[in-house]
Amino acid sequence: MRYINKCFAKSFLIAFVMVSLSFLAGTNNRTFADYVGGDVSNGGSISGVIKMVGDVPSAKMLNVDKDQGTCGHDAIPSEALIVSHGSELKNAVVSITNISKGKKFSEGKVAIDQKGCIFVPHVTLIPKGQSLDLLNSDDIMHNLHSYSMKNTAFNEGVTGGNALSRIFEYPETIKITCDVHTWMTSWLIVQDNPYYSTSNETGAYKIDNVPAGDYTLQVWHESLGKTTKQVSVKAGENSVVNFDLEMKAQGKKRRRR
Amino acid sequence: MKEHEILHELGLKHPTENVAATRRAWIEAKLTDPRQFDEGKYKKPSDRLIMPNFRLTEDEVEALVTVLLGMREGEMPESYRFKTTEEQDSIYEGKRVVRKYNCTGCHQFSIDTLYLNDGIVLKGMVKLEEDESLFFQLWEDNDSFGRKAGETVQIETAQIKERVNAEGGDISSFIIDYHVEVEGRVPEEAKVFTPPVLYKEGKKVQSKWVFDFLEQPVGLRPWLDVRMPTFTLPAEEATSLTRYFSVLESEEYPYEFIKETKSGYIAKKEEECPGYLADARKLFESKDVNCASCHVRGSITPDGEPSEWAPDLSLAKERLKPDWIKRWLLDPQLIQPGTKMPKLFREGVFQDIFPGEPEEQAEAIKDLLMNLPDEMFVEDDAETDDE
Repeated sequence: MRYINKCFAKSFLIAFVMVSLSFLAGTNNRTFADYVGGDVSNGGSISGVIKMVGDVPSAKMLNVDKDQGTCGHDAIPSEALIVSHGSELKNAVVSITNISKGKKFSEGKVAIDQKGCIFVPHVTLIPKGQSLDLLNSDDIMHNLHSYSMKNTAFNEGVTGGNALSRIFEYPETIKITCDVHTWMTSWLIVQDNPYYSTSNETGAYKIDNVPAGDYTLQVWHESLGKTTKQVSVKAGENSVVNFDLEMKAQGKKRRRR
Repeated sequence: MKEHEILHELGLKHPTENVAATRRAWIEAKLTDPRQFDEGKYKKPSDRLIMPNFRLTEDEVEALVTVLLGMREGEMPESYRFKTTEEQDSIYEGKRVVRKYNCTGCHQFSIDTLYLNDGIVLKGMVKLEEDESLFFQLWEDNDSFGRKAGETVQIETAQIKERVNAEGGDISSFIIDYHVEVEGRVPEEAKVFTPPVLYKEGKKVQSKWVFDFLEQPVGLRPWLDVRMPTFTLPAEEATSLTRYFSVLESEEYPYEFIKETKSGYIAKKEEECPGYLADARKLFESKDVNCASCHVRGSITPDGEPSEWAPDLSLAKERLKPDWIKRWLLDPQLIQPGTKMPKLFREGVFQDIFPGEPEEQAEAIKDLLMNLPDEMFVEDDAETDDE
């Protein structure tokens, strides 16, 4: 009962009832053909290295022009394109797009933190239906603004040291920003199966426990787009699939209503 | 029985009294099958009737007959005239001005409507279309559907009986394309650069402000790259548009009593709750709400690029309706999905600054905005802004 303001005590009960009701009204979501998780015996694996081909632009620096007490005075290197000297690409997401049965989703909390006015991690993957914690470890207010097409979008201010949690119903790639600090960007990829991996600093990724079979493997990167390859996985063996991504020429996409 | 009545019942024509009825019958016959009068006659090809058969439906024939019969000299009888209410007149006139200046070229005036097979009507915007379903963001609560405004729902295409698309905002897709292609933004994010949606505008802005703005537009949204032109509207047309926005939302026009700015309003609040406005200001200025972090306040501007600033809060009391401000503060996404303004007042937050429910906190900020003291929007030379 600590929310009561001495001047408005009467409205408390009504508001409380309304909030409870809105939770009950909840969701009546329709779900389509779901992935079935179970035990995989003698599965194979897929691994490889993702590289960027063509000219690699120099890393963009993001200007920190607000709340410098918390965010610091120095420009922050953009994480939109991180390429090693050997052209290896970080933060590319590899996933199998056509699998309906296989290993179980790994359990454990998934969280995105806002720390030092940066989203950590920059790219996050989460199984659909699982709860995501959106934290704010800074001592200032950040807002969490999601740009989603399928999942309900949100934009909520989160005060220092507090958190939000959200569940995403539909597989989708969602950009999340903080509008107070416009340099802050993060990507959330909602997956409908557990076969995914994000490339590390050396561009390497690995997907394991894949039942033998033929699959479509997709790689997505926020700055270099998407591409797919076919892969055959044999029981107990590793298939190597490398990807070379390049910067797309601008002005080709056309969006129409 | 008189001669002409007998003739009428037989479908024959009395030279004078049945002329209206026969003319009607003839026009109807002609429109339904224009060349039927050639049937059974011997005519040279050059003399045959040439009017094409337009295959008009019964309703279309009826409509044309009505028009043709209505073409007569002198005034139409009063009973034939379409009578409008004052509200309807305002709406027609408003729509005329909207068309004349092509307001819909930039502004979206309505939202999408989906009529589902089971009788449910959904109001909102289609966000994404796929082969067998679409994703629809509700802009209004829907009790029969069990979902709230702001939520995105998946609807199978087979469930949709009829779809009526939003009107206006023709320029938007080009602006979105630009920000997607040149700046690499996602389309959803680029929507913020499109001209403001005017759906339910009458609920939002005070009519006097609308009139002034139409006559002399001022920059409100620093991040936009397209700007409202000066149309040099004659006063009557600016009035028509202003009235249109109000009437459409059943808002009071032209005068509306705004209690928040009148003497006694704040005094009464202060009496009930000493330090009311000061506490509201603490909430406004607290680091966790910090309205001024994004919003311009008169001559005081936030840090960062001007394109990232939010609208000037010192304009709020002249421009916005208090009820709207409160609803906006409680959940901006419900009024303008996609807006950069976050929802701040959730159950249980800011209790150490302004204890109470979100409703009460939003009410306090609304009251503060409607009574913003001078020192909150005029830069004080002595003040140092740096922290």
